[in-house]
Amino acid sequence: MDLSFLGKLLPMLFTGLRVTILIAVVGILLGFLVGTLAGFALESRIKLFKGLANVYIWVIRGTPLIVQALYVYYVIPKLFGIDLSSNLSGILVISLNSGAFIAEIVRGALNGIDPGQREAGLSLGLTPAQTTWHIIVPPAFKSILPALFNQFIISVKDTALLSVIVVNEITHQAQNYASLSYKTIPTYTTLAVFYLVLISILIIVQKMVERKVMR
Amino acid sequence: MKRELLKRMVALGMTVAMTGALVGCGSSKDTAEAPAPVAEDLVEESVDSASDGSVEGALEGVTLSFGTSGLFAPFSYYDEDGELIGFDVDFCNALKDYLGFEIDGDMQAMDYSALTTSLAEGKLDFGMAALCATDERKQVMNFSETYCDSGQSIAVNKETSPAELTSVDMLTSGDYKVAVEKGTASHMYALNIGIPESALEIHDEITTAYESLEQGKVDALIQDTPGLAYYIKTAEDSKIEIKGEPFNQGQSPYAIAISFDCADANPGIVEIFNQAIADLIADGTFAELSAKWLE
Repeated sequence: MDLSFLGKLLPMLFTGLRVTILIAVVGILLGFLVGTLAGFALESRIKLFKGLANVYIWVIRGTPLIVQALYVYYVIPKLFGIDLSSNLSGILVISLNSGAFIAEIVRGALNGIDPGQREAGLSLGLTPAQTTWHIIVPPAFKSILPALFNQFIISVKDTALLSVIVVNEITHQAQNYASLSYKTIPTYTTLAVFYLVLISILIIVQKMVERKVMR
Repeated sequence: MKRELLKRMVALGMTVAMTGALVGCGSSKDTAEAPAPVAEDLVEESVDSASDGSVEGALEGVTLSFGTSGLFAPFSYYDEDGELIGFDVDFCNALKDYLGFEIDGDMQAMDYSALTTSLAEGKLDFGMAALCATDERKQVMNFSETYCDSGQSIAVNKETSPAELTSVDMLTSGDYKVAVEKGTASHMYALNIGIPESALEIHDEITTAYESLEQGKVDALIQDTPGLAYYIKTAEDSKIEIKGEPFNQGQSPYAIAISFDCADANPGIVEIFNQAIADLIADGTFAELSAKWLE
């Protein structure tokens, strides 16, 4: 088998890897922030917060990521005059997208804490905020870790869709190569293996972190 | 005893399967490496058989799958009613009526990279989408004679692009962002003249490339001249204009692409298409279509 194509394809994939990792990592961190706020808002007694969070989650879950990407990159500049580069648009889209799903995860975790814990905290004389921070958040955070990592892996793979707004991530690079070389089968096989290795590494990291935190 | 026999049979079966796979690889590689002679042989044969000249009805009873782009006005695109129209669509129908073949299912519209890949892999029998018969593509598919030679042009945004940007040679400096459509002759040309990868935006579709130039996200765009001219003519409030003279004419001859598999299954089909193109040019059909779409 002639593997000389790898000499050209692999450097392109590694160039793409940097972009994919940048967007996925920054995206999931911001998404975690947005998602946590939205998750608490969903559980909030203030109707306005709850409504805003619901609308946000509804819009994001109700539209495909690819449409969100095209919208942020091409439509928002026209409406608001804010022109984002394709990488910044990518980060924004991944943040908003993962945020909506993380919000649901956070809400589920908050719901999963026995109401007796809160009552116990309050009866010890802690303020509601202290109760939330010291009693509710630690066990809730532990319980969402697996789901959070799962969302991160989904986000890494979702970056492949950002090809439509010319983000030079891994899949875009592979397509660029395949479209001119016509080495379709080798290119996409390499691409699949590349993702598989990348995600496998992330799964190993996930297991290590979980073991540490769960101890 | 029985188990031993079973083992041997499995081993034998695997050997056969693997040999089959190897042979499979070998033969496909052969066709990929030496397509030209095969095609030429076929051409000579068919010239003999069709020496009475006319190829009218030559493909009677043949069914061919057909692909086009659907995004490249005025050659193939969707009108407001969602109907696939354009020069290539009409020309394909004229060839169909003249040669007598049937189209398998509907005309299939897809992105350029998907289209050329499908032709290279034999998923489509033939394609017309202002496809340039480039040297790279000739390695993986057959082409008919050229029916239109366009050349490429660069386009800039009248308001946002740097005023000094007037020729394609200036793009190699890397100071200007350039949009091209993935897998097109323009994409290939941009790489060949050495536009740095960091300055190149490779779009899946030409429509988003145009939009990026309209919004000033890029400084320039390289595209086939007729498509570019048509876009500028029809787009509302377009800020795009063509700069300089068309270039790369030798590498942008539009031709009908015919997959190797299709040529193998229908010996002489490339020559039949060539004769049909010549006949349709001779009887004025081609001029009629040009007047309708390209002027």
